[in-house]
Amino acid sequence: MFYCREKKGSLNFKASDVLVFVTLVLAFVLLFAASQAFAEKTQIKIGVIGPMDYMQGRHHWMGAEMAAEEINATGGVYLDGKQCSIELVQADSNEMKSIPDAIGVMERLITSNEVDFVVGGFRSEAVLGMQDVASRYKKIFINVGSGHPQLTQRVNEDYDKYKYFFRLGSCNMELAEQIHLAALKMVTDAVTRELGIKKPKVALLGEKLMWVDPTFELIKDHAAELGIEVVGEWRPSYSSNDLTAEFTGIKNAGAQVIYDIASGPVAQTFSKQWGEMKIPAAAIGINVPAQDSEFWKKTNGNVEYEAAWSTFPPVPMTERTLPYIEKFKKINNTAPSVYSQTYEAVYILKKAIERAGGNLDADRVVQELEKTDHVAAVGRIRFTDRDDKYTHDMRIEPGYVTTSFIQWLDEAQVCVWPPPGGEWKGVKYEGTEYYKLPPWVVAYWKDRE
Amino acid sequence: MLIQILITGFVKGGIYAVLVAGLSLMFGVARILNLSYTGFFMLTAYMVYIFSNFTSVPLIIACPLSILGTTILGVVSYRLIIDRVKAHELTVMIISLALSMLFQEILLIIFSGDFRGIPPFKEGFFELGGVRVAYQKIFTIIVSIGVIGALEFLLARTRLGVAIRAVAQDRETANLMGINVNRICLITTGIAMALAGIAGVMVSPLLPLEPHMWIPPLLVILAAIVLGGLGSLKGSIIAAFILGYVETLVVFLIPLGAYLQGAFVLGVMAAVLIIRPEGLFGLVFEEERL
Repeated sequence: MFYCREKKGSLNFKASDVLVFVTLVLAFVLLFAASQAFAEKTQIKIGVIGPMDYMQGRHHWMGAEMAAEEINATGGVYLDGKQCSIELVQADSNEMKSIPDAIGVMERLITSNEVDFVVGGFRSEAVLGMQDVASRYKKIFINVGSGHPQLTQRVNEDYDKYKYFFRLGSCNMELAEQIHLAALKMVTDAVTRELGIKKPKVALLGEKLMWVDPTFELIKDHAAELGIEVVGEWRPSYSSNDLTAEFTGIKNAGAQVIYDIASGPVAQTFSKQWGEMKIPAAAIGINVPAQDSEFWKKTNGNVEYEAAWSTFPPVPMTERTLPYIEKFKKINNTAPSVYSQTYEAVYILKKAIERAGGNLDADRVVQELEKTDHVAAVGRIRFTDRDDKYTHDMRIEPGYVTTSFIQWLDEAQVCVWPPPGGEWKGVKYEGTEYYKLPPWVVAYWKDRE
Repeated sequence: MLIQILITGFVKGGIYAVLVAGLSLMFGVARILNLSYTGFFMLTAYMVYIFSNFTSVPLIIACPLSILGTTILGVVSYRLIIDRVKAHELTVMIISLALSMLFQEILLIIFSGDFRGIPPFKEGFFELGGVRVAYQKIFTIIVSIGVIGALEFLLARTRLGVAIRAVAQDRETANLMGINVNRICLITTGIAMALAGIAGVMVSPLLPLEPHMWIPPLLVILAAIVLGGLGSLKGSIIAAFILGYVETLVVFLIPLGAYLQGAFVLGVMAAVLIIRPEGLFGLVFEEERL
């Protein structure tokens, strides 16, 4: 029975009062739940997750924001017979410093912010955790910026669980194997041609993070085929700020080429010291910050002659490339990067939702995402199939996305790969120039002759 | 290869030596382990960056101004925060660590986490025994030797130095002899912060500037202080060179494990401490301080 014992000086409730109160609360909760259930959805929420204090996260946001503004300005997304606008929710993953933070932020984005989709993610180690969370909640997560093959291999191996994961922007390092090998060959061929060295020596220098491993394994496996000798592998820490010993070791090993892979502070250290100490080995690889249009200034010009993988070279890969770069620069005062492809991710989602008949059901949207055929600024985007070794990955091949390599020349980025003569499978982009060996490398090896 | 290891290790050690001198002095005299030391080092680097990118102040004036700014800020923070809790060693460590994190977050808000760079005083390099050494590094080592020499002169040949040593050896007796211990601690902090500033000016052109740049050097200089023997300036400097050589050996002998430099540094420190718990030049007697 409900009753309250009467006490002097305290409130006195009857059982009927309590019953009325409980009934009212229950009624309110039920009404609220019903109103939420039957409310018309007027906005699609997309979570943008990334390290927002860093260039990677900021570019995730800039790209998504640009797309959302464009879509909203032209009527939004067609959903259940109505036009819905896109609302973006920014989530700072802090993944540079803490992987558990990143996983927690993904969970919050889904459960507390109640987003419909998530785009972004950068560090492979963190994205693997985020992928698990998104899959648990059956939430579509388009990753823009991680390179580890395991991310999409998981989709292939456990499709029902991980089918909500797609990758854009950064290449699966194994799918991009032909690109890395071809770009490396471009430089080793230049060494052979200009320096008369028949079997060039290549040093591998990469930060100690898991995304680096597949490419280095690949180069070692294909060394004979490329006609090169891999003279060693140096793996400094992600935050290393002095590579003097590494460069001395590389010079001792007689390398004419360094294939470098770095994204952390060590990437800037690499370019600064390589240029400043005029290391007699041509540098090519994936130096993530070297894609930044301000990188020449940040390295005091020491990046000059370094070649680096790039998503947005200043050449028309499709008819949308140059207008996109121009618009991005105008709005954000910086050039786009691999991470700003959240722009394409938002457009791809919009198209998939509309193809699904204006439905937000994750399974139906996944089916439509799998049919994506989208001409983006970086090329034609299609995802790999369910029976591919890597499922829901961006196709990297001629006719789709090829990416490119730029070389820093005269304070500017110049596209040098695919080579201008169509030497790589007939692919060529207008405005591309031939790669140039650094003059001090040529002088050093000619002197030794 | 031996010559190259010797030269590369010396260059690394020389750079660590300039970093370690101030913290070791502060620990030896004021008996506080001020973990915000490398935070001030980072602040100086950012001050130089601000001067060189947002003002027309020439570098030759910007550098002393930055060192002065760091010294003032360091002394003020000592007076307002550290001095009040200096009796509690653990509190000092936590508060000073929090101060560095505060600097980190402020810089993160203002400058974001982007990597930035300061131009070296002189571009280029010269080759010695097959090792290419940047002029900035040579300049840093020369300054480091000069600073250590000046510090030695100050401590051994001046009245202030005598007072500092007296406080370091026995602060109660020094107090009874009429030395104002608190003032000496404050002056020592000022000198240490100026050293952090000098290190910031000299070393920062060699590093990518980012708000977490204070963490890796802190680890190395703490290891050097412990390895050299707590409170021994001479020991810390020798330890700085030893650690420079340990890092170099790791890269030369196990290139694939180059990322293990930090682990090896701590491993060597631990190994020495097991054999000699007071460190290489540790104080068996209080009188040996400094």
